[in-house]
Amino acid sequence: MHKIKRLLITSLLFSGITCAAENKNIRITDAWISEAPPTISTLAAYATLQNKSGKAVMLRSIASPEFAHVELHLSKIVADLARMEKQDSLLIPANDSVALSPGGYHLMLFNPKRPLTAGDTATIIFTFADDTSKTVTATVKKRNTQAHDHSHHQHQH
Amino acid sequence: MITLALLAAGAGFYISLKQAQQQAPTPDIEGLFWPSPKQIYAFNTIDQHGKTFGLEQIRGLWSLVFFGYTHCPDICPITMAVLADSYQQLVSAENPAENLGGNRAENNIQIIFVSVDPERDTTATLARYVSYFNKNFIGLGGTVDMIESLTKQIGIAYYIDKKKTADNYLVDHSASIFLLDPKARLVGKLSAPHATKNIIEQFTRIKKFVNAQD
Repeated sequence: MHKIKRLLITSLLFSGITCAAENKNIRITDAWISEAPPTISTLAAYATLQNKSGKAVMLRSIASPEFAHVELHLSKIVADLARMEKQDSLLIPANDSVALSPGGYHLMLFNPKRPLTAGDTATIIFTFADDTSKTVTATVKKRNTQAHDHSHHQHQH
Repeated sequence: MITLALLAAGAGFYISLKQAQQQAPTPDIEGLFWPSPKQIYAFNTIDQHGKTFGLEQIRGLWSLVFFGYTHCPDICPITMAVLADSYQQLVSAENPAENLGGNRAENNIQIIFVSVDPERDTTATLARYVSYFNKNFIGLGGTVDMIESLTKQIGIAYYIDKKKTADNYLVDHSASIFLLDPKARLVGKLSAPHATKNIIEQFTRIKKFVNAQD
């Protein structure tokens, strides 16, 4: 009986998560996780969030079943000092896109539940202010230094 | 207050004008500290193998030095990856197997990552971290006093934000790469954002200029 109850509760909880309405207006592309040196427990992930609707959309939280928790941060270099600032939300303007890219906005993935190396994948769930969500699969990749040489040309709207 | 600042700026301008008149013009090389590069004196850090690393280990080599921490997931690995790329290209360009003439030592380059997070960056962590980018890279750490025996001389600031949860605190740190010459002088600073092409160009120009002065 206990087992059945537990199963029922679990399935209810699980369905609660999976049934959060999908956000149809947001398109997430190029989601990738930067492979980290061994034993490093904080990884960075990047993606492009495109808002196809005529209304601004607010990203409120991010989660991943493969990590203990996920935060959105912004890297800044001010007067030669590199710093990261945790962001509580991110506005994706109407008919526009926001790139999470090296040296700017990025996801901080804390404490992977298993070691991740190039080629592995992880699920990332983006939840928006209206409680809709978008789930993507991000692939772990090694950093490509050549890409950074062109980082100033990434904003193509 | 404004007058004072103007006066100070004026005096600074006058001094630099005098210096310019007295010395051969310094070429317009971005990031070059000349004509008065800072001499680095004895310092005492621990490398990723647990060995003492000080002045003797930077004498006779060109050193590119970056300050960061291994829990930094964005700026630090970007910089380290670009440094790995630059190092590979510089080493293969400067030491082609068929042309080892001249003073080999002056071609030698070392890449040094200095951790400003002594609490989390143990010797073992540093060893795994730096060798991930290149097996020749050097990772320096030690106690706060040891680390500061180098950071204070180079003049970099860092700030550990302990307000965060104990495990995942952030550290603000210099984004620049500092260049030490074989005479242990701080001869240049390469500013972020870093790209392989810029690092190679700036390093090569500064090195050529400094070598021509002595």
